Amino acid sequence: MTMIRRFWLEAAAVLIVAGSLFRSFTVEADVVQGDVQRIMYVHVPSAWLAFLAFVVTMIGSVAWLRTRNRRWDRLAASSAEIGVVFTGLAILAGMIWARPVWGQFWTWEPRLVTTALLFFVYLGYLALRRAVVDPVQRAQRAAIMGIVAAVQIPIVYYSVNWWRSLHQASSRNSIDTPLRITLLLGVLAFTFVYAVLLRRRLELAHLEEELEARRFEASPDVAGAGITAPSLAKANKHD
Amino acid sequence: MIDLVAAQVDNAWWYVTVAYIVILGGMAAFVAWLGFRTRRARRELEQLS
Amino acid sequence: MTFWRQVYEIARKDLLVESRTAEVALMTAPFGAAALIMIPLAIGTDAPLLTDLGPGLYWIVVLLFGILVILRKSAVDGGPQRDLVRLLGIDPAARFTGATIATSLLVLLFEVALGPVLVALYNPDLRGWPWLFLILPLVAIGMGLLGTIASGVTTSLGTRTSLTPLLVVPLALPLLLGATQAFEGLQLGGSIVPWLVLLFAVDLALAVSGILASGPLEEAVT
Repeated sequence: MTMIRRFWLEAAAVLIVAGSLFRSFTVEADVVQGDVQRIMYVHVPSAWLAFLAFVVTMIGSVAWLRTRNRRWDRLAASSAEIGVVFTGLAILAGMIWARPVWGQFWTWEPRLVTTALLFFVYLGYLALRRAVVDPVQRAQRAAIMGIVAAVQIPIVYYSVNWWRSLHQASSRNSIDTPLRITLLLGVLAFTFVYAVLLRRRLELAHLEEELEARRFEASPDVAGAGITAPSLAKANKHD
Repeated sequence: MIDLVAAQVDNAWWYVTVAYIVILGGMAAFVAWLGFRTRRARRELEQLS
Repeated sequence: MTFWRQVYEIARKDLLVESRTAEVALMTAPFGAAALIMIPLAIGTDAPLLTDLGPGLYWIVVLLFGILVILRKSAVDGGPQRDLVRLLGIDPAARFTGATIATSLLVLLFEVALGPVLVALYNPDLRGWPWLFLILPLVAIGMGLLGTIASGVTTSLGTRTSLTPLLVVPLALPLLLGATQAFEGLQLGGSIVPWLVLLFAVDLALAVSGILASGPLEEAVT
């Protein structure tokens, strides 16, 4: 019984991903693009996941600033790490799709450009976290940057969209229903994958926090044995 | 549009396969890396306590 | 001290310190000018090509090299200075606004200094040039706001000089697009109001985020 309780999310994710994969390969090919269009069934969900993870990071950031509860910072950081991976994968898939369709690896399409910029924003966020030693300062600074970035990203998207519409006609072709269902199934599958990864990453974040606290305690005596370092592990227990 | 029609390439499935391998492989690699870091953290915690 | 007096004093302090080192005027601006000179050596000195690309290259130099204005020494407050400002009871929002004004003015100085270099080397089409009196300040304010936020978040970090550019540049894209498209719009005789609205919207969003973040930022820095 405990095995099911521990791994139900993973099991559900595997089932849905399998179903989505099966559907992606068996659904009819797109009339215009042919079989290459099937790449969209992983590219679009990856990009969706990238943006979802970013929204969760922003929510975590806002919640941290309001409550100062470490669990929100853990959420923001974990989601950002998952987000950066999927942003990278989305960009790669987009490039592999662009090559046969447009003859080049990159199209200056607003969503792709915004995804690329989101990648750099994530990298900056994670680099900032890495650079700050004190956990509370780290949470605070990262939260501020997370929120500022979240406010700017939609503006970035709209500005690129505007620019693009001036210089090139938008190539948004309408999508048939069976293909749309396949796409939605892919999005659902990736959302489950995100939930699984987030849970695992949060677990790791908790462990790392405990580890940090224990290491701090185990570090050499401050000013000889006359003063003992405060226990971060005990302080963290109330989270 | 003509570009897109012309993309009915024979090696379409090659591109599709590469893309799926990249995405699924990337996901699997991330899961593995997470698992590795989790195990390492647990081990270190055990050593410190 | 009223809020605006505090803002004035903070801005004045930053500009005064900058006037002593003259980092922007004597180091950053020449560096930007050197870049503008070197680019045609790399892409070709074809007059029509340079006329075409000139404005875009100018804005890229402003964006990327403008980061150095944000990173200048006079923008960095040492620990004791920060403590003193805090003890004096300066409103964090005033501190933010003052620092932003100082940085924005220096970015504007940078833009203005590079202007003649652009005109001399690239011979751009300057139709509708009076609009530049609006475009240049809007971009400078945007850079100032982004820069002050990013500087605040990276205060006293060892990797500050590498991290700040990475944080600023992706988010400054709308500024770049707004400026270049407005310029292009002027040359083509089209309407540039949407792009000015974009620049204004970016500045407004950053100003609101920055002011709201100024309190938490004070707490985040020891």
